[in-house]
Amino acid sequence: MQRILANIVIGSVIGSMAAASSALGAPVVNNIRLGQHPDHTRLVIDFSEAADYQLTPSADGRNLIIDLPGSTSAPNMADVKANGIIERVSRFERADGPGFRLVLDMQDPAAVSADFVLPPQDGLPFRLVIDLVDALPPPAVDPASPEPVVEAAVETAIEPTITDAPVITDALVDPVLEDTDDMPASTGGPVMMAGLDDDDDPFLADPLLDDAPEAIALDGVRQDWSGYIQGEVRLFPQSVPGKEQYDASIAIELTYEAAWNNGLQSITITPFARLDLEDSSRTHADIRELKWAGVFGDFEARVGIDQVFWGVTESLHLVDIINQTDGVEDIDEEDRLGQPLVSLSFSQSWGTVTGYVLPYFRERTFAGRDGRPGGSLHVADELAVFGSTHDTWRTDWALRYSHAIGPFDIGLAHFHGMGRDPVLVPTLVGDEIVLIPSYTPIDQSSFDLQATFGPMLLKAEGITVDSRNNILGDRYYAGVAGFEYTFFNALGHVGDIGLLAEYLWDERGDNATTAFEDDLFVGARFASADLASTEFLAGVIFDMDSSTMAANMEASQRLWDHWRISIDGRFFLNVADDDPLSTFSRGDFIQLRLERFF
Amino acid sequence: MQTFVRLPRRLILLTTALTIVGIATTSTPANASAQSRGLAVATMVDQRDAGFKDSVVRVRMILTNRNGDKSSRNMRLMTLESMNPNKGDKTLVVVDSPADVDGTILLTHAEILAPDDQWIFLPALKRVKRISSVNKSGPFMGSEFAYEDMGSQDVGKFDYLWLRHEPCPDVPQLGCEVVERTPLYEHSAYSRQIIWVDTSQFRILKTDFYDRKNTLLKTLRMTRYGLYVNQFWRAHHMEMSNHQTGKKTAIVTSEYQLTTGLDDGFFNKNNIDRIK
Repeated sequence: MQRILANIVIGSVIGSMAAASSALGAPVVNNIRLGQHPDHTRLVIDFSEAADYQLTPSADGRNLIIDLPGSTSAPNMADVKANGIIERVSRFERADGPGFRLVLDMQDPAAVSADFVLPPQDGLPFRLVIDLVDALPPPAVDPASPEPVVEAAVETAIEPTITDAPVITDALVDPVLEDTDDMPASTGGPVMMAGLDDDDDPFLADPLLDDAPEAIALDGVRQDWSGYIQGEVRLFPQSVPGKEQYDASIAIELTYEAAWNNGLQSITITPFARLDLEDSSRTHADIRELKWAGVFGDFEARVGIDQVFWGVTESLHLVDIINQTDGVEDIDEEDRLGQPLVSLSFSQSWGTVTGYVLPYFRERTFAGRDGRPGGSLHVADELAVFGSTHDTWRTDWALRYSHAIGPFDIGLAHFHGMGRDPVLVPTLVGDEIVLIPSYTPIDQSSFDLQATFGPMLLKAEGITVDSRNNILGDRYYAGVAGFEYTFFNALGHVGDIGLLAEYLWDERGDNATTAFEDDLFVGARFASADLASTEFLAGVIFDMDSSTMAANMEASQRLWDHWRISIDGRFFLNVADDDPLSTFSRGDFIQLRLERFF
Repeated sequence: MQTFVRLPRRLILLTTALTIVGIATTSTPANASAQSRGLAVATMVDQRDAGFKDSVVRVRMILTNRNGDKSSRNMRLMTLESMNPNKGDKTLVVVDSPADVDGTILLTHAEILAPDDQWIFLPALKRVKRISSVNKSGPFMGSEFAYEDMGSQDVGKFDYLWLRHEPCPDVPQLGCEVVERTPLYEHSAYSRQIIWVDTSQFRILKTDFYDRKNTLLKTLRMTRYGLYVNQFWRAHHMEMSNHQTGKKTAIVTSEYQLTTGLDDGFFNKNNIDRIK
């Protein structure tokens, strides 16, 4: 019993007589023998030469760990039969070097009554002898009741006490030991372990060990195809002379990616195309991406056609400017045309700086003469004007710094080039008044900021734009700021509910190219925790100056594994005649989309 | 002489601190010792796994509902080991399926007790969004695994209480330390967890999760361990059973690679979209 408390005994079979053989190399364990004696169970380990050992009994006496840190090889544990108080002997490899561990499982709580080492004698090798006796079980573990014993155990485990090697004297030679070979077979006798065979590598003796699957090569080329095909139906509740109240179309987007050099270099190609039943302008194709990207230490370079998003707010993408909006796709400004560019990023602990060269300007796409939504006036994008020059090949550039510091995500950027938002100028062409998009070269400086405080996200974006040749005047400012607050696991853990509110402002007021010059956005979203990832989103933008309202509703759900269905509604209420949204008056629509992903 | 039970200086300091706290709160010596033994076990688990630097693994989740219907999610998980005891690991989850969210990437810079820093990359919009991470208790991709179950089980995230030593569940030939741990994160879904740690290699073999009402909620069993770099044990099979809903999620891992040389820049939110 007292040895249970002693916990760790470190010994060494090193004595003067061992010195001669210690130079032979790592000690080899040749045999493990168990024998039952009237008042104790004896375990004997035969070594080829002197060896270190360490005993660690468990506090409850149910296990004894014998560590043999320098020793190699071991007998086959499978043949070790329960004997005496020892129920099982298991063997485990050390992970960090040579040596192994034996774990003894006891039938009943046991204590080490003696452990000592015997030198070679009478043809017998070095032997480690451990005697185990029955121990009273430790007091039932009740954390509430004092049990200083456990604490002693932990203290010892933390700072193992290195004891001197036991002094080996003849007096310690147990006469019984020499008799172990003669123990009756009925007690199990000396357990002679067979040599190792391939099917029973002791390393695999760990009952939890699983074969490690082959790892994929890092330096190969990894290729991946993905994409979707989409069927879409649109319904327009309001009639407009000369236009249908329904539309149908089909769209496809494919992405091919190949990455090599452990993903540090890659190419991405994403073509997109839509075929529309009613609107010839909406039947269009675009290269969303066609780029090479390479990472070189702290630098990343990209060349080709790319998609770049900047910003944090939800109701308006104010600072986002690299890519032109694909306006014919939807009116939510979330579809963007591929932008030819060369970019170089430099990442450090203080943030990431990216420079962009944009050699080509892309015009916004607009619904055609038969397309909806669209106002009574046709947007004649083929007549678009570009400030002083009509050249779409340009050398626009942009620079952006972004970083995350604690709860803050900060972005600062400057853009020099053709502004992406056109002014739609009513013009008499022949006998028809059409809207001609007019683009202007600008310098736009911007910031975007998000502060994440638990479930509360605070977001703001601001721009200042210097429009040379601006028909609307010189520099102007615009901003959008608001919050998003999420109630997690709401409605009895059905999903998360987010509430959003943002204020949109533009210094130019009614002269703004955007409809959102003094507007309030409120919205809510629901993201279900279900397998189908069901989502709802609803938002309304109120114009504070007029009665104009734009409402938006979206719902979507995964079907089976590869499909997604979504239904969106866009509504315009009380649109003032002079509001830029008037191009969408009587343009309410509901669209149903079914997508197959692959 | 090297020993198996070589404990780091950090643990000794922790234990000392814990003892002082124990005295200050007038807990009984037995309680304090059960606490320090529980902490010692957790520290051994942590120490045993320290030094893997980074890992990349393919993860397949198989979700089973009450009726036995199955669906699966595939992803790759990349981890950068934290060298700072006051910070958690950095992880990237790259979703490969379901197909409609293919390419979605979740980047987490884990903290110990504060909410993590978390960003999501939405491939359809090419947009990186900082998201709220207070919801560690929410389901990960609709599975029975909560975010907090998936994250690194850092020592500092819990208080510990050693309960007993017994044969390990499912593998009675191993001895297990049974330790109760109490999440210190205020938004945790759990009042406590019971872990079974085998004393031969200090792997967590089983975890019982108790909800805030102290009712058994889930059981996680980790089996089929692989040994990597001759040192680090990784479970190839994890099964989480929800006792209250009857739902199950199995995670099967494959293609483990450790110490591949991933660096901090790889786990930078500005570089998420470069991951293929």
